[in-house]
Amino acid sequence: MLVLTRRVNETIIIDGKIKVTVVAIEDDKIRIGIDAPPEVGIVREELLNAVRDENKAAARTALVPGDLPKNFLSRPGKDRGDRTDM
Amino acid sequence: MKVPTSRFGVIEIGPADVLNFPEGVPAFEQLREFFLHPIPDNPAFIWLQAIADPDVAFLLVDPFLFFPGYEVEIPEGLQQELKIKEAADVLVLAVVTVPDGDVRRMTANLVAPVIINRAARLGRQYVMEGTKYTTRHPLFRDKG
Repeated sequence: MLVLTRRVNETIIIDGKIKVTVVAIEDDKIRIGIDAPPEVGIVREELLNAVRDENKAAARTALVPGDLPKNFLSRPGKDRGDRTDM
Repeated sequence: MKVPTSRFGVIEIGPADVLNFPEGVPAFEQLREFFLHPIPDNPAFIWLQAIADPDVAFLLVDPFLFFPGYEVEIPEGLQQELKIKEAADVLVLAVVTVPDGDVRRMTANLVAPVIINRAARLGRQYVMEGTKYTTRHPLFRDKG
């Protein structure tokens, strides 16, 4: 791993097109700004790991289609985006 | 071609049925080809079956039926990657997890919708940054 030291407002340029700037530092947190072309995907590692874990669980779904109660179709959930564990 | 699956037996699909996921999906990066397997009489759900692995299939749900306020913004880069030209070609589906096979406790992953361009037969599971969504939204409130 390449390790570089940066101060606030200092930037690293990756591959000539991705700019990573330290925006702010407070306590044990740093805020990072990223300028990248639209085709570059940017995601926090823990979020990607949560998706990976959920996919592993989802791929084990052994449900046969007949198990899906059809009466659920007329009863949409009331959930409006409440947070649950990732 | 005939595709063996552990859930549905051998399924006959044509070349037009093959959906390419150039990146695979997270945790299954090696699986690049899938097809959609509908569920009779239940249009809210559909299976996404991996062609190369009979055991891997994801139950997908139409998230807009269960989460009316749900929003997915497909960024320009992803539109290019999936060669999206018409909004009508795009399917946005959420991966369902059924804990311990208990349908009443099933959850949908709203933070990483599966985006499919039916016209170009390209797909990707898109992990959205900066939303309030999580990987586990209950589809049904427990009335018990």
